[in-house]
Amino acid sequence: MTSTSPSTTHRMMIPADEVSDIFSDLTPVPQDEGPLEPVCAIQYPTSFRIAYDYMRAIWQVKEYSPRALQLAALCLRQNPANYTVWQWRRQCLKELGLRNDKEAILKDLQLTATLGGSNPKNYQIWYHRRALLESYGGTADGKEQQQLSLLRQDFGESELAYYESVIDIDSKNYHCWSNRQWFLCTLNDDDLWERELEYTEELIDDDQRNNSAWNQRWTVVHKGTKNPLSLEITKSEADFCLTSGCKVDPYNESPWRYLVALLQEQLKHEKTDTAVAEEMIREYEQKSASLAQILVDAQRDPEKCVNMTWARVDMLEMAGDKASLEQSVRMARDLETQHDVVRNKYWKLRISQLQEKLAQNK
Amino acid sequence: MKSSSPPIAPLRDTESSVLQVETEAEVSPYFVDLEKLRKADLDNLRQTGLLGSDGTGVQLLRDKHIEYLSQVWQQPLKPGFVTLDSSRPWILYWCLHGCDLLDGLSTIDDETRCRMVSTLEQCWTPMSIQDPPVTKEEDPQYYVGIDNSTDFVLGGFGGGPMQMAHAATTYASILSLCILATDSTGAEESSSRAKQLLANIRIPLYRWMLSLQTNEGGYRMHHDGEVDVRASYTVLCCADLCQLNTEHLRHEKVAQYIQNCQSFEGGVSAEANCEAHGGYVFCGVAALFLLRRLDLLDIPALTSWLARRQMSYEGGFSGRANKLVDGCYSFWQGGANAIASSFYAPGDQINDPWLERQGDEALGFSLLFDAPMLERYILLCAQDIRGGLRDKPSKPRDFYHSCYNLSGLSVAQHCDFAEEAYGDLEQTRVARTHPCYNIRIDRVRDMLQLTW
Ligand SMILES: [Zn+2]
Repeated sequence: MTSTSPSTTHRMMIPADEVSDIFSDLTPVPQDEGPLEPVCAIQYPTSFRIAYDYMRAIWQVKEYSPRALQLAALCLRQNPANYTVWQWRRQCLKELGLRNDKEAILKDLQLTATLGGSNPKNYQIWYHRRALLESYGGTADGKEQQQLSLLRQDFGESELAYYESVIDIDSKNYHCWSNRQWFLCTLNDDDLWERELEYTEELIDDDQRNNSAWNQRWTVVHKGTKNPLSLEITKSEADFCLTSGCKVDPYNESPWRYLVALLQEQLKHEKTDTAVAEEMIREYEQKSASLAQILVDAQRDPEKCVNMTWARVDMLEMAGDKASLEQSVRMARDLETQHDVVRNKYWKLRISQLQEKLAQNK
Repeated sequence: MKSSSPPIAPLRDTESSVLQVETEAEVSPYFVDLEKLRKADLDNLRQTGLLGSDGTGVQLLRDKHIEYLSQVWQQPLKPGFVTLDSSRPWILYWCLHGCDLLDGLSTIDDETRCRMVSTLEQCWTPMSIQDPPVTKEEDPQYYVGIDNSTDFVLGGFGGGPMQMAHAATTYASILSLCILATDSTGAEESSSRAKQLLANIRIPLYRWMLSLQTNEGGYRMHHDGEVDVRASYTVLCCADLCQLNTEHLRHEKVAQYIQNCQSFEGGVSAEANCEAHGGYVFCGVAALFLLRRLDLLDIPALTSWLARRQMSYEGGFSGRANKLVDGCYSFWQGGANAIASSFYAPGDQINDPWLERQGDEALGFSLLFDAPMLERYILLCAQDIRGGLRDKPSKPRDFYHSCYNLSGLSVAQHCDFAEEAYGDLEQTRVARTHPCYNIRIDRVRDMLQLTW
């Protein structure tokens, strides 16, 4: 290994034109394309080829060193989707004893942010963040409380702020949301859940059609579990849904589905008395029906508001009494034949299922 | 064909609704009534090949698509493709399967196909371990070829030479090898090489796949990699095609992991708590079908979510609620819909209805979406008249969208009762893909009949 001055040891990335000098002690390993001319071959730019030739050389001799990390960064800048380089980087940090080193981890988090740009969309960048944080302060499995508080203390605020900066640019970035969910579920901290609830409210106020924000809200109120909500929280969420979602724009799918799922959960919940759940469902079906006036006031035909009618069909089905089922069949029939004909096969199926329930009801 | 519902303006404009309205405006010029067009306009469309020479039936630009996809084995890809340098087996699969759906394999000579097998062979990455997780009594499959040695070889396909084995590129490699292995007409050498490669890697592949399984029943995409339903699907799919689906890979917790990924909306997400999404719903539904455990899902909620993903005006599918139509979801949502609708088939849920189907006999169940509407989106909005298919008219064509638009077209044409179709069906008909494996059904059948 060549000697490097302290200043070069601390830089993040080797400049492409210095690679051959810095690794002159190694023999570059060209990519082995096999005996036949390859397919899906890529015309690699020279700098790409050189960087990867030395990367392979490093893998072959298993060199774990600061300069190797710097070369990996250069390779990743040219192809941030190279999962092998990212994985090797984590291995290298481990071999160098840096996986619990706050400064080193911060630098790598910064690297993923830089390489991802303002709207990072690849799996590898996000997984790298998560893997480094997962193992921070100890082993990945069975995190002790102490390790969690260390994670929260050292990275809690900066990590949430980073996710937020990405969501600001792309409010539906799937990877970002899943990392954020994982992070909150791992810390499982009541203060953070509280703050997150407000955050989802802000995002929903900004764009009632941001379905990722509605999904996040579901995760937050359930604190990342599958446990049904209490009756009290269900009601406050259902009210939020109507006020901040359905009323604002009854054509919007997201709040309707959130509402139906809340009610469905209570109906299935063993701790909620079925009669109580059914009563609540009828109450919200009535409230939903009354939103038709908003459309009438706006000179729209409420019959053509498919998402609203759909949610009402679902609620009437859950209510389960004869009158409700009969009404749901009528409404589903209107969707099938007039207002939602693109889905007429789906509605035919639903109608036959509803009629079956009606028959059992007698 | 039914005409699509005209778009309804939202009551309040938001960032999402503005994009939606823009997309409706973007596709609307493609939805003109062809019968009302002036002759000059019709002649124009005929020149592009989108319209047949006589009638007004819309055409699939078969030859142009084949030409576009064939680039991948005819010449090196431009330097801009370096960001796909860890996805080379994917590029091959997208183009090979796309060609296969267009009955275009005969345009690829044996020598070129041998180059494909050889390229994949270079992506194979073996490793070895000394401590097997199962005893010979528990899992004889794991011990095939092991006598007294203590070295257990594991392996999978990486994104390129010397890259780590990865479940997604392994899936793309296995599917490509299945296509090459089962098409021997005029390609004896490549077909036998593909079969030989599969025979050589089967057991190490099996061991490697088992090593990806987590305690919770999920699978990792690679060692020290992410756990999500893509991994569950790709592993189970490869295992099935190579007849390696043991009780260890199919453990009850594997199905439960996927069950946990069904979100409150009814769709399936990457992992528990995430948002329901077309790509993951396909993986989850297909994987559970392969496990014959679709019953673990809340089927009414799933069907309802899937039904909502077809856009009432555009006719194509969106990936998630309040997101835009995109041609690749023609397969992800369309395939998931085909699989989910099999749940409503009469009889038990043990067999594979697509494999059992003889010739053109009807399936015992119908798609729950509007197939002609989807076909219209693919044929009118997703085709690039130079060849290749795309997300939507404002997006550039690419290999990935070409593959999944064509696969979606195949599902729409073959998995329905096919009462009607959009366009000139005799001309637009593509080969029949299997909605779970997404290679042609005849290839799946041949693979499952091989004895190893
Ligand atoms: Zn797409």
